[in-house]
Amino acid sequence: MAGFQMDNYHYHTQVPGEPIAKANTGWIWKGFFILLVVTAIEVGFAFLNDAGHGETRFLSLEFQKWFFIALTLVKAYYIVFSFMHLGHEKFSFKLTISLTMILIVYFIVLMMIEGYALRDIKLLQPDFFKRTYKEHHVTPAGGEHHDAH
Amino acid sequence: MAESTSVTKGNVWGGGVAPFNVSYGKLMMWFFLVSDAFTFSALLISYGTMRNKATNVYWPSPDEVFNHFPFTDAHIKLAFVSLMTFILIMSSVTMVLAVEAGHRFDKKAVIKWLALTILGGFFFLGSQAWEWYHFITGTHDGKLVEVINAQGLVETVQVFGANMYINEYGAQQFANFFFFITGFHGTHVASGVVLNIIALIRVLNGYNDKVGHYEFVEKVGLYWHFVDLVWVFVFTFFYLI
Repeated sequence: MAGFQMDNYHYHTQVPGEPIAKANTGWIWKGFFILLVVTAIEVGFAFLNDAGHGETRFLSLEFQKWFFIALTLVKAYYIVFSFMHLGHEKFSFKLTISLTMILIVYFIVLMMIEGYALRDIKLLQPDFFKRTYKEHHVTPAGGEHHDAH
Repeated sequence: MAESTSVTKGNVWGGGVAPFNVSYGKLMMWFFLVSDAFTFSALLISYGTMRNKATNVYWPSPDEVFNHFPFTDAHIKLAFVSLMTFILIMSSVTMVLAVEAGHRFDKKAVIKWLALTILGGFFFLGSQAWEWYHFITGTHDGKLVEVINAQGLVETVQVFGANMYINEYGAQQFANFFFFITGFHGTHVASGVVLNIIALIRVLNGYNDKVGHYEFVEKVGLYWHFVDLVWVFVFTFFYLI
């Protein structure tokens, strides 16, 4: 029983004592190059699009945000599928790991909408947050306390 | 080995084989990392929610907060954090190289790459400490901030830097999220360094020769890449956007 796990590995196993095989590192440096270039594009874009407080901005912040998120996902893909070797695992295993994260996407969408809704409440009904703040944190001073229960 | 090859396809989940072709230890590491991904997702999502709630005027711009660089007084945005990102990506690469060398039973190469990975981890932790120090001590002149004092009255005070109670740069939540998320990530890096050191000691002691594989290095490697992955997201959401 002890041996089956080693035997099922996708990579070749070296028999101890045999001469050491030559390193195959091309794919690693390719991954490194991609991560480096994508990060350089991100930083360069941030500089070009926002040098001097938005005076040289040629693309909107909204576009910039989604551009950065897209490039981040590219980097995440290379780290997980190349460096963490998920790309070489069985299809069922890839599904097990990546499908689980789809629920997170749903959570992100919900909470971002929630954040904007909270902002709108704050802007349109300024008392909404102020009232709770006063009740809990501020001891009434000099008749400033309007918030009777 | 004979048993596993004789197992028919219908019996994959009947026990005695690894259905994903992944060993038990690696599978459990993956499951742990998925759960850890949930934790970090929740933290970054709550950051995003509060960011969306805040107006742009109130929320500090990371460019203006984190623009210092060691050994210079110049203010260059993104420079230092880009260096930190480069250090972590580089240490991730040395980790893959260690795992790759482990597959070939190249003990000397494993030792070399693991040692370099540990060095990269220490460099990253040092950089993070430096970043925290500058965020906490703040700007030279500080900033006048209106606070509510113990008597419930509005008072103007001069504030230097940021902590869990007050933030000279703007929204208090920005400081709190920054400390918690980068602190939690830094804790992961620190424990990753400890795991890497354990792996290196095991390799040096000949543990891997005895058991006939370098799977421990591989499992530690998975964890280390995950830490790098989290940083990629922290970098985007805290510094770029």
